[in-house]
Amino acid sequence: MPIIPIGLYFFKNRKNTGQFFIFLYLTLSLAWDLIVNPITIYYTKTEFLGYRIFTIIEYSLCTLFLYKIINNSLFRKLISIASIGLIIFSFFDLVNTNSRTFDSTPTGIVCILIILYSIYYLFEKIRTPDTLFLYSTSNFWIVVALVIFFSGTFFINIFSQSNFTNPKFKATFSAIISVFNILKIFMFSIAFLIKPEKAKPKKAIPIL
Amino acid sequence: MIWLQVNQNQLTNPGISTVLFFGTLGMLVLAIGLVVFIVFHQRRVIRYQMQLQKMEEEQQKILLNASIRWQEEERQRIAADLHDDAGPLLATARLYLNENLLKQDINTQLQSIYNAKQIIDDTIQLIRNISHSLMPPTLKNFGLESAINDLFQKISGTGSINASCRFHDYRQRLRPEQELLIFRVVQELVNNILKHSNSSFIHLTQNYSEDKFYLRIHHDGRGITQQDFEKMNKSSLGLGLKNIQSRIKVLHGDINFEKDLSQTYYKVTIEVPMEMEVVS
Repeated sequence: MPIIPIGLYFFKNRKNTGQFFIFLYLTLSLAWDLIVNPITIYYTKTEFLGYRIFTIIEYSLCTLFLYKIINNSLFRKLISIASIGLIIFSFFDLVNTNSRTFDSTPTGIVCILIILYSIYYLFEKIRTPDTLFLYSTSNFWIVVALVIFFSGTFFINIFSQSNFTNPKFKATFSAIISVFNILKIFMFSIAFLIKPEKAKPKKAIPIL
Repeated sequence: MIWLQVNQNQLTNPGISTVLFFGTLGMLVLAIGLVVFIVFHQRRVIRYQMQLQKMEEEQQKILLNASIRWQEEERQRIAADLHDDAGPLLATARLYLNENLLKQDINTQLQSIYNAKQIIDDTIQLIRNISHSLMPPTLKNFGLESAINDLFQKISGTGSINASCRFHDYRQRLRPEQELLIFRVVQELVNNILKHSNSSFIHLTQNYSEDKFYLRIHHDGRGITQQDFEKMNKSSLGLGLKNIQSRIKVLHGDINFEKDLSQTYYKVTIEVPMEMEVVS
């Protein structure tokens, strides 16, 4: 499935739009599922290490995209601070649990942070309506995909730490993640079909 | 996050599945609701902005129409002046100087030439007057202060109204285009006062404050307030007022019509951002 938006990415000129991070995110998630995860499981006999590393990569790439499209410099600083905090926390969580459990806490925080950044982006867009219709922009569809994906998988990720070894739960986990992945990929595809608007990082909106 | 960590035995508990189901559903509904709200809100904002833009465009259209009408009226006036005054004068001069003149005796010839010369002088004076009404020479040569002083002296000279003006601080002249626009606005205002107000005096004052040029006209007759001005600007009436508005807009300035606190006088204040004349 991710091959569709990956292919569509190249249809329009997307230089300096920040969407390269989403393209990278899709490519890496595909590579992770096909190559990295099987290798990690083979060597470490656990799938959690792969998940933990991917959580950080997923957060970093989504945040880099949102950082690029958000104009407010103060909020961008807050994103940087929160990101440093999250990476430090994830590292300690990795060391403490010795990668033997699902990283529910970092994943939960990642979901909340990405949702917050996305809400802020949408809020910024309605405050400064420089586009005729918000849904005619590719960034809007990417942000909506992120909001729906991370809000939809938030609860299942939170519950995973203690229940991941349960086959019934794992089946539910896979089902929910797959459904939201499909939704996300579908929305990314819509986004990549639309001509991208250039990011304007220099212009900051007034401090709220 | 500890409170959310459920132990494995609890999974068989239907409560956990319910929490998971409703939690996920709730989050999803919230996310979709938020996105829908934002989309609809933005559409509403855009609709409002478009409405505002449309109103502004209509206002611009009214001003443009007024400006075109004014230009046409001005052209008609000049055409009438040339056709009705200069044309007959020159035709008469031509009659004096026709070919039969050579057959006349010398005295008649001299008389005809003298008459023709008189008529040509009158025509020159007439054309000069038309030219001056288009661009007052005092304004061009000596600036706004002198031009307004001149205008007020002429009005006062008629004896029908007492007109006076006082420039408090006009050491540095504005740009010529600005001066002309301000002069036209003053001309139009004074004209309106003379035509409609039935006042006994007009007094104009000028000053500067915080990089802004101010002109204020007082009179004791019937006047209009800002509300009347805005109302007339939106209607098809008041061509002169629309011209004032469009000139003020070109100047990036502001005009305010109000009644004095004493309720005795009407005053008009013109406020224009300072743009000094560049001295080469």
